[in-house]
Amino acid sequence: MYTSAKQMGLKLCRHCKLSMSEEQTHCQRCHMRVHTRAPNSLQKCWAFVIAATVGLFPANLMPITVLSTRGAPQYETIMSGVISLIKDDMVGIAIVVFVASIVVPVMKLVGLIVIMLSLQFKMNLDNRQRIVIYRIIDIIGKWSMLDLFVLSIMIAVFERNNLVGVEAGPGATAFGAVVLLTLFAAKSFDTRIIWDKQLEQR
Amino acid sequence: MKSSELSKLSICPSCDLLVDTHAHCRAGKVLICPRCKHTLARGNRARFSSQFALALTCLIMVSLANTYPLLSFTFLGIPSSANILRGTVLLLEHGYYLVGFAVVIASFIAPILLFSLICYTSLSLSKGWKAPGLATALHFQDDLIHWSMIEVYIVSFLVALVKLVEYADIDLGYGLWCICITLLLSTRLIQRIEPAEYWERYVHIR
Repeated sequence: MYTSAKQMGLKLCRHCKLSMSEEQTHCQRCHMRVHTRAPNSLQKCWAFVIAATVGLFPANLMPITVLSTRGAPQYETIMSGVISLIKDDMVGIAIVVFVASIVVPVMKLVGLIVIMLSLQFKMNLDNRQRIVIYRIIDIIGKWSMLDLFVLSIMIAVFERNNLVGVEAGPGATAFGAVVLLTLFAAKSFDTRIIWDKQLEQR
Repeated sequence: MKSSELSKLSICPSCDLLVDTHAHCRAGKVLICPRCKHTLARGNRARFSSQFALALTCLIMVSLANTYPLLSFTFLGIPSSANILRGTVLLLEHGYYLVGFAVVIASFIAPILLFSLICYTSLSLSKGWKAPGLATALHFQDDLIHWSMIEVYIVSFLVALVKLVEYADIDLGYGLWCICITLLLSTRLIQRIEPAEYWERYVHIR
């Protein structure tokens, strides 16, 4: 059967990928502190996930963009922006925006919560399934920045325009915070603990 | 365990599996972790000099992308153009610091810094010259890969473009082509970066 390095008293430097014995505190190649497992990885990940979940509410309920046509401000939340895109017959773009700014953050949080709950309550989930969920989360993670990039481009385009003005709304800050928190959450989760739980059960 | 025995074993960074990598990975092949399917090593090693060339091209292209406008258009007689930095400057001016910084880091600072660092480390390693701050540069280089989001920026640009088409005629600027070339080259560059290889070489020239 498979043997983890931890069982053999070995560990790996996460920075330069050098193998060493457990007694060494620092990596001899890149001088960084080396841990067998990232310390308190589950706690950190939970903290980021909970903070991001709380942030989802203001991010989705408060206006993310303020569109002003002839001086009358029009507040758009993420969802109302998507709906107005559909009304303007831009279904393709609406789907891209919807997936990037609503589906991706929610999926990341749900995915991480599923992985962590299944580990902590020893639920029947295959390790392979857990790592696949994690890798999907890792890949799609950065795509939730899309809406913020679109916002910055639109602001720049309508900068010197008296008729149409685009500005960020308070929801943008909340949404930015959610995106950053989910990125940190995924990064703080040490995937190696997925297989540790299996070792304990034997 | 002795260091000579240690060098024959690899540890999967994703699942901590001990893998016997006695035989080296042959050219054109990849070594995949049997337990979690993580790619452990690639057979074709990138030469540092070619990494340097790629990174330098990326750096030049991304600098050009920031000097030329991405698009320019005329809306009701008012000409307007947009480049990468202008939007973030406006976000920061209006007090949206978190959003502004996130956007400027992911679309401007991280790519430029990443390409500069790869230039610096690859040149130093290929010449066998121990550059000052090389270890720090290598550490930052590995972390910055996750924060460079050029591909997301290009898709965002397309979304913005489709939204703008209904307002006016749009002329695409040179900046857009520059950033597209940067994306093509940087995908290849980042794909070929193997932190372990850089560190192995680093130890040799020390």
